[in-house]
Amino acid sequence: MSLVKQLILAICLFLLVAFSGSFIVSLESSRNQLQTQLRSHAQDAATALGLSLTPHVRDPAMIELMVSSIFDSGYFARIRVYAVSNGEILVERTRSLDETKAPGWFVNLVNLQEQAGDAIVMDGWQQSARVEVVSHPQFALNKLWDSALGTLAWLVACGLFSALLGALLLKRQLTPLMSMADQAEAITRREYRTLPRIPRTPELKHVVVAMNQMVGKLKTLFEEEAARTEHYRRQAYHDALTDLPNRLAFDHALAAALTSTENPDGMLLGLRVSDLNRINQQLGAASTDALLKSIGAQLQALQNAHPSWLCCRSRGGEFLTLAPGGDLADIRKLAEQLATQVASLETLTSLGEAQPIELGITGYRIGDDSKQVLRRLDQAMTESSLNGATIQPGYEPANESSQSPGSSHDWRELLEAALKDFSFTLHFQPVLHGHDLKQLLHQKALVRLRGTDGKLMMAGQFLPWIERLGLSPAFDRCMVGLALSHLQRHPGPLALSITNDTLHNAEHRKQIRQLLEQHRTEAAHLTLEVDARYLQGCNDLASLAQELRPLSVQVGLQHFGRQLSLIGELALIGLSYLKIESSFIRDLDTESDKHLYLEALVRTAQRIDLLLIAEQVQSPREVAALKQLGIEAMQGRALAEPGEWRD
Amino acid sequence: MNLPTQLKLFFPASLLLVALSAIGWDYEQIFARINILYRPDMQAQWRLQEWRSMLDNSQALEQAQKLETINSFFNQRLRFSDDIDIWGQVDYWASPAESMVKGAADCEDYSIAKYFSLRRAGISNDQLRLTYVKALELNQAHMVLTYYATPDSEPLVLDNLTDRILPASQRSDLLPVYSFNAEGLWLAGRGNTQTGSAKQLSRWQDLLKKMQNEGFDAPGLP
Repeated sequence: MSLVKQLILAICLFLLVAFSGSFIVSLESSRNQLQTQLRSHAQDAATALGLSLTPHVRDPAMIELMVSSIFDSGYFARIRVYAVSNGEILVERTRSLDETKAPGWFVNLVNLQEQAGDAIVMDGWQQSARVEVVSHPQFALNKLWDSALGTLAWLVACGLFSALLGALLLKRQLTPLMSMADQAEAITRREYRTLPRIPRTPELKHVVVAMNQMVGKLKTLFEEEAARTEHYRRQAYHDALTDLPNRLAFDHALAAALTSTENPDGMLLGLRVSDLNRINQQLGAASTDALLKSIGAQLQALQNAHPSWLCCRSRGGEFLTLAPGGDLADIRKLAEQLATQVASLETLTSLGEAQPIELGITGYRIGDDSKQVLRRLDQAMTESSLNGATIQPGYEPANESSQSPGSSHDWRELLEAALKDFSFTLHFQPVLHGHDLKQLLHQKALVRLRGTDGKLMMAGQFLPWIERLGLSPAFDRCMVGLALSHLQRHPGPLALSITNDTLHNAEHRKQIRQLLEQHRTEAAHLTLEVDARYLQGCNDLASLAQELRPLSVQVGLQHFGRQLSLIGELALIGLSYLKIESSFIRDLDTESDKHLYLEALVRTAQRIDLLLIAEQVQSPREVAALKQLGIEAMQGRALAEPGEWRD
Repeated sequence: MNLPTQLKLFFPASLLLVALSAIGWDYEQIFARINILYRPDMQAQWRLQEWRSMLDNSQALEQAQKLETINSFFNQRLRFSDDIDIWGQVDYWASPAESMVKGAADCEDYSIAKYFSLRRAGISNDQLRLTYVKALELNQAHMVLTYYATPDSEPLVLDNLTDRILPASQRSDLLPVYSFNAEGLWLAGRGNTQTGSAKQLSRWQDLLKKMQNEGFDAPGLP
């Protein structure tokens, strides 16, 4: 029984005892008083009757008449007249005791005795008869019954009022205790909250302050850990001058993109300041650095606008951008904008001569060799030409022609039809864990769409269009619906990605929640995965986790790796797991810098008791390296290919 | 616990009171109280002592001798006077002790003093009645004490107008009006002595209370 219930029960019990006590006492005192009054009444009537009968003591008819007069006009149970000589009853009048409005049990309980009085009837000097008068307790009983009912009503009213008031006060007083219980429970879910309101009750205050301090310390600990890990990452993958990722990061990203099963084909954009040495000699190191920084800032802006891309400074004056899912027309436009912006930089204009800027674009397809792709980009940059003051980017197409529909109109038709008919196909890839990687953690649902040519397209090919055409919310609802209907047939843990458009919009989140609410049984198996690369702060993620908790739907984060600074906050949300982005997994066995970074990440995750899952693990060597690092949950080709549902 | 059992707890207390009343009067204590209350002079003290020794002596007498002794004791020791002269009130019921201290009494005071003394001497309440009579020759209200040998017998009249105790039939100068049982009155009002204020008391109650205050243990009960 909860504390509140116990206390309310105690209050009710106490009130019951107190009030029944007072009820008994008041009953007792009025009982005595009434008995006395009854006795006086009987005696007075007896004396009056005795005195009245004295002149008529020899006339029985008169005696009877007078007794009746008194009896009928008063409240008597019995009047008797005895002869003194032999005790013979001369006249008797009686009335039943049942004529009260109080119920029989109450009459028995009160046990009000009849009260008698007596007087003498004289015949001259002699005692002739004796009058005995018994008062009827009817009125006394009625009065007692009324007062009992009154007391009872008062008891009930008081009891109800106090219970109500008590419950209210208790609820108020115990609110801090409840929030502490919630806080403690949240900690077991790896959700570290502080209580903003410190209760005034000293005992509770101490506990709340202590809890808050502990949570605060944990937070600091996570943040320190995250800062340290972030430090490693920056050292390994960042260019100190421009604050952009370095060549190493780019190589990893490119290798991951080219071997990805989920990402689409894409474009590469290169920008090169040729003849950096000459500029350096002419303007000095400081100005050169400033120039590179300015270009870096331009690319940083580009990166911010496209979170799934990767912009880096690869070496010297060379900047590379990896744009998975990029569209040639868009990239071309961006490249021209970039050229204009860079060309207008003060440092370059001050050189006065022909712009030393080269721009190149090339496409890539999954499965391409990274060296070939980079060679093509290099060639494209060399081919860039000046058209007046404008730089025309060079372009080298990818090896094959695209299989997907071309225009945005075609895409819209295809996607809207698919959303209407639910004609997306779900493929599944198991996520395994355990020492020998035999246990199933969950199945990851991967969406496929049959294109106009009849081939199945991977998510990466059509997802950018869904985003571009503003169909994300509808797509997510469709996916959740498909996942739920799959779970109806095959219950079991299932992970499903949702888009960040849905995540960051409360209305869309609500729609998803309502959908899940209609299928609670199936929803309990579901984990929704959010793409960490597109995450704008943690607030919406926390809201999502909180909204879905009552439905037992879990929330995980995928493609995590570059957002280490968030880890302190992520620890407080109560996520189920983090899936590590494939660029940190690719060729882990040979690239020691990744080792260093993942080690730090594993350490942090262990501290905050968060499960790490490696994404897109492709070779047994990677599996071994991951195990060595202590990551024992994985998803990827090395374990199982994605495919249709198999039991 | 049900109500009747609760009520039973209250009864032993009242039974105890009745039991105490059976114990005889403690004259030392009574006289001490009277001294404080009424400050009797030497004569009065002497009268009180006489009353005491008379009561002690009458204990062993025959019924008729008890009546004779007590009747004549009060008739001789107390001077008849109206309440207005003795007490400054039209109608005042004096306790036996008050009457003895004053050395004067009116008809009720005589009857009261005789009633309590006879009870003390061992005569049953059932045999004694206070009787209102009309004194025909004087044409005024009067009170006497009547003694009934049996409930339906002709009573003997103890009157302050005469020292002789005569059967009622020989008292043609008196017209009986009504007589009452003193104990019945006391019982009927008993509750009031515990709870009520003096205003609510009957004359009889008032008298009993006064006597209790003087140190007589529950007078009126044997």
